Amino acid sequence: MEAGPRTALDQVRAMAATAGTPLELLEFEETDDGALAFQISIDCSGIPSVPDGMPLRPRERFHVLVGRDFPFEAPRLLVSHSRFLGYPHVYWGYYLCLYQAPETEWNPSDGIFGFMERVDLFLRSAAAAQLDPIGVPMHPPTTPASKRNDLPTIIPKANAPLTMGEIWFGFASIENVSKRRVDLTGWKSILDEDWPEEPAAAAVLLNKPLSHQFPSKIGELIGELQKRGVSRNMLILLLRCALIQCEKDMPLFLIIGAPMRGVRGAEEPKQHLTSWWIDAETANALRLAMPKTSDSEELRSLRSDYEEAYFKVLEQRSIHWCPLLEDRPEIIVRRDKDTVASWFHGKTVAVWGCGAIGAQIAESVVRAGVARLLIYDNASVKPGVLIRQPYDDLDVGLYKVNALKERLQRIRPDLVIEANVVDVRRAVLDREDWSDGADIVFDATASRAVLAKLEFARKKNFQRVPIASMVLGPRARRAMLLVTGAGHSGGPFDASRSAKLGLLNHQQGRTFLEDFFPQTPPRPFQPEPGCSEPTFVGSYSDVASLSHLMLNAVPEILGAIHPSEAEARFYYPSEVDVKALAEVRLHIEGRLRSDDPASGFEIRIGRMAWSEMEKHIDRSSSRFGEHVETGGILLGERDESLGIMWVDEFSGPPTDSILTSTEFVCGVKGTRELHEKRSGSSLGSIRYIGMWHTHPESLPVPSSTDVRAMAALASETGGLLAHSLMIIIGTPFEKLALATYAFSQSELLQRVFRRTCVVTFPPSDLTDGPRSERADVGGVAIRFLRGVFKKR
Amino acid sequence: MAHSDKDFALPIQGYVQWPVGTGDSTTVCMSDDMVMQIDVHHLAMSEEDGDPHTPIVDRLVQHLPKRGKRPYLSVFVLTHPDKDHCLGFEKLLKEVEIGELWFSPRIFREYKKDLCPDALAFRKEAVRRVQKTIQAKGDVASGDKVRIIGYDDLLKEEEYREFPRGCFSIPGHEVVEFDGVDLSDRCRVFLHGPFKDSSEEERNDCSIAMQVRLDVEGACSYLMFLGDHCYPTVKRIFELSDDEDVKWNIFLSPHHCSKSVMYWRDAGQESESLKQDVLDLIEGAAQNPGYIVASSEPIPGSNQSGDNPPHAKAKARYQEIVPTDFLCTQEHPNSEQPHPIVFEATRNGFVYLKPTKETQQKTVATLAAAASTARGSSAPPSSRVGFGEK
Repeated sequence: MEAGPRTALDQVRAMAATAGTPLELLEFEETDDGALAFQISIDCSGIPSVPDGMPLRPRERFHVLVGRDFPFEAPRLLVSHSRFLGYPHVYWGYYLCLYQAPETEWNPSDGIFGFMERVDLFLRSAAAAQLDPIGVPMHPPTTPASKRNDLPTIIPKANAPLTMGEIWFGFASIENVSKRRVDLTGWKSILDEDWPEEPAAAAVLLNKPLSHQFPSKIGELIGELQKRGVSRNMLILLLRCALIQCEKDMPLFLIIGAPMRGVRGAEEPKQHLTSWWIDAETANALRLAMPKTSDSEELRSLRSDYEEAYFKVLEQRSIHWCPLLEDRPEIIVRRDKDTVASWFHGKTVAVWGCGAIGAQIAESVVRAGVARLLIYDNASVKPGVLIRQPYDDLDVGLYKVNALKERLQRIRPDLVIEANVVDVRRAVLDREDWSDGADIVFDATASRAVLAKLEFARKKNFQRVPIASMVLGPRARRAMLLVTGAGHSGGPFDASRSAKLGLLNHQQGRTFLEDFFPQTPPRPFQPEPGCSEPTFVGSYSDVASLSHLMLNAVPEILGAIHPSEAEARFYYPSEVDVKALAEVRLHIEGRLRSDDPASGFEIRIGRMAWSEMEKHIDRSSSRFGEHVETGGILLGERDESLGIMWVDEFSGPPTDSILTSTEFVCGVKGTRELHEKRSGSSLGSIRYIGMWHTHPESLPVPSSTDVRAMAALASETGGLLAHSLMIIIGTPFEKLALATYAFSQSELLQRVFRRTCVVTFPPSDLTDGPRSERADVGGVAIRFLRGVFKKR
Repeated sequence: MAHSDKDFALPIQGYVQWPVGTGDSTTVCMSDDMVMQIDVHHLAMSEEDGDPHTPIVDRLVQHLPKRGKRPYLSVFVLTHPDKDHCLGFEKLLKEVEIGELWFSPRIFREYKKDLCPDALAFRKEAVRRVQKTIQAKGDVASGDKVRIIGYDDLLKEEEYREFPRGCFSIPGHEVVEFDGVDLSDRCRVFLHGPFKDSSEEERNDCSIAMQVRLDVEGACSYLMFLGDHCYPTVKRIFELSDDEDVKWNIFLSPHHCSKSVMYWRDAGQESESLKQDVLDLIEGAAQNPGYIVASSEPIPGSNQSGDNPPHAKAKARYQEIVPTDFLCTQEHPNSEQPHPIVFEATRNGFVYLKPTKETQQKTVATLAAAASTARGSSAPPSSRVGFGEK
């Protein structure tokens, strides 16, 4: 006997020898292949039982088969009677399945002791009818395995039709996917006007369950069907219908369903499907027995006798049940249910860029059940790319999107995938609907230009869609994920700026700043013809793991943030440096938006800045009185090409300013220092961009004084095309009124201003109380025309 | 003495197995005034207070139907004249009217000195009745009737040649007349033994063996009594008989739950081995409900070699084949205060009359506990141990 089984025997003996043991070892023998079979008797008199439970006698005998590879394979438990037939987890009446997932549940180190504990648990649960408790999926019945191994596997894809409690006769449309696989793609009742054109199998769906173990002989099946309301004649009729639908010399399929699946105690049981395979020869014989209208009396009678005789023979034969693998949505429970990725199920997703990151995202959402996928990339597969991008050798030379589409289509033949070999900047961002109506857009282009143009396009043609932008650091060690809510004040380009500012304030921000917002370009990277972009070095594992880490965060973030917000996440998962933070999360609030239609600039004001500004007004009004004007300089950033200005700070009035009720003269003391200080600490992102002042008790419309002031600035601020920002805060009513004006140098020099003033009333702490809910910039925009005014 | 339930009464049609220690006392109630008693084992100690055994004779006196002033027992069957089957017969004969005696001819073969006093008393009464029956050519009244069961060449002898055939039965016969009364619509006895070729054998092998069938409006209940037979005979009975004649709802385990029914040493073998075939045969004849009854002292967890019955191994084997439950008279429902095991034959079948007392929950160790013990604990020792160089 091998060492393993011998150990098992010793362990059983030890258990049988303990005081008061319920276990008796009856006999054992070594099998031909070195395994061990032994018989035990277990005292079950102490096991509590319920009427529905598996009936245990005061003592029960079991056979245990211990494989020669014990303890590395689990032993098997069998009985030699059929009293347990029909109970959950009992196969063919005699095999008791103790382990759902032996790979994880069987503990080799515990040997027979652990096995017996499991047996104990099984018997107790079975006797208490707890093996398939209510609320848990019913144990599907078993079909006796056919002795033939050349039968095709049946994959039902379409949900079974509603039977309304009646027996349903009809057809299941079949698709011969391959020699070994037949899919059931649809159902048609026999009562339908049109019968299926394409090949079909006959089908009968019962309204009563069959016994838990399906019949193994044709005669038994006919008997069981008869007991459930399908007479032999009905069965013959159904087979004849199937014969009509099928060609000569082809095998026949009969699909038999019984309501035996679903969740115990819940709704109507679902149909459990099985497929009876009838070989071509038998099918031909049955066809021979079918009467024809042209038959004479004698021929008809002969056919009938033949059928009688043939069935007598047929009933003795075994049924060939085809192996069947369920894929019906009503049966299958997705194995990614309740995971983060299940968010993508049923959604429309656009992926820009199908390189290292994009291809991973595309595959991931496909497997998660996305309903429609659009992929964009204008590059082709180069050999070097195979190291870290999921393409094949045969794909080299093909366009990435086409190769990717083909592969993904093989995973989900039903999925609509639109592959576009285009440059996103033109083909997508030039469109009004650059989002394709998607539920989410992924930017995996790692292109600053794409982000910039996206920002521009979004400003011009706002689309309400969340955007996720993903990028990896130069050595694929760190990753940056930007997710903007569907109604955020900007896109990922904007969010990236906010992220940078966030990192500057974060203790652990430095390493990420180096990777993603470098001040100096990194060491020159040699663009080998093998790399798709000269952006980073990394292995497949590096790239794939970071991509999926970021992807998994996206649904979580969308669930957590308000649509007006955004979030940036930085990842640094691996590594030698234990002290480094693995993840940095930066929450990004939406900004107040204000437009200056004349210049086309959009001004985005940070809420902190706005609050600070309100405090300045408050302070000023308490010091100098309500009617006194105040103001200061504006610090932030300006992007001329995008036409966007960000205001991050409203400074207070410099100490040498003059504040009266008729004018505010902005001093200069300390302003240069402030500008330089901010610029330094923000790595250039925050600098002087303009000025602000108040119009207490009047609308924030530029007066002639204001205009003169701006003109005076003209010569100071450089750049012909550069714009200067003037923000006026007025308080005509209770609420603060905001208007922004971006004057270009040329405008200032011309001294002609034509403006449509857009006044908004942003949420304000001073008049509204603490901000209890975040809302997009609301308020009413008042437009009125102010005439042309000239400099005096 | 064993606790006597004030409300106890014999069922009209049914079966009672009394807790009389390792011995047999079976009462079969055939109708409201006809009762059959198979064997008796009245222990002297059972008359003492607090003793868990039943003073069976006293009980019978108390519960048997009355005929005139005396209690009346229609039939008394002595399966074989072992002490544990006839102890108290003399007292029974004195206090109760016994209509008919059933016995095998073996009793006449035995040497006087091998028989216990009660067996001798039985023999004396049997001889008296046989002689009277011969004289009256079978026409005797209740109180003098006999039925001799079994093959024996003894009856070919001169002395017994005139014995009427009608009072004589052999295995394979059925009997539906009890003490002269035809109960064919209610009770039927099918005789399984003793066999022709066992008259020279061990006393146990000459036990009367029978199946009793009680009919209630078409619903039948079956009782199998195989005396003290062992493997070869039991097997033979089940193999050779018709299915109808070996059915059982109650199987009284032969020889007080002895392992000799299913463990047997074949010729040429060194030790006894388990005989699965007889267990399969017994199991195959079981009806639902199906009970196996051991009329014995409480069954130990295990036995030493040479121990008398009851045997733990036999109990285990019976527990594996019994459809409903295995009962032991002295443990029913617990060993401190046992109650008789009572079944009633009704038109819905055989009904077990559960005693009101709590069943003794035998603390059977769980499989998991056994595994735990066998695995061993990983705790350090709790007592000091000393080590040293020398």
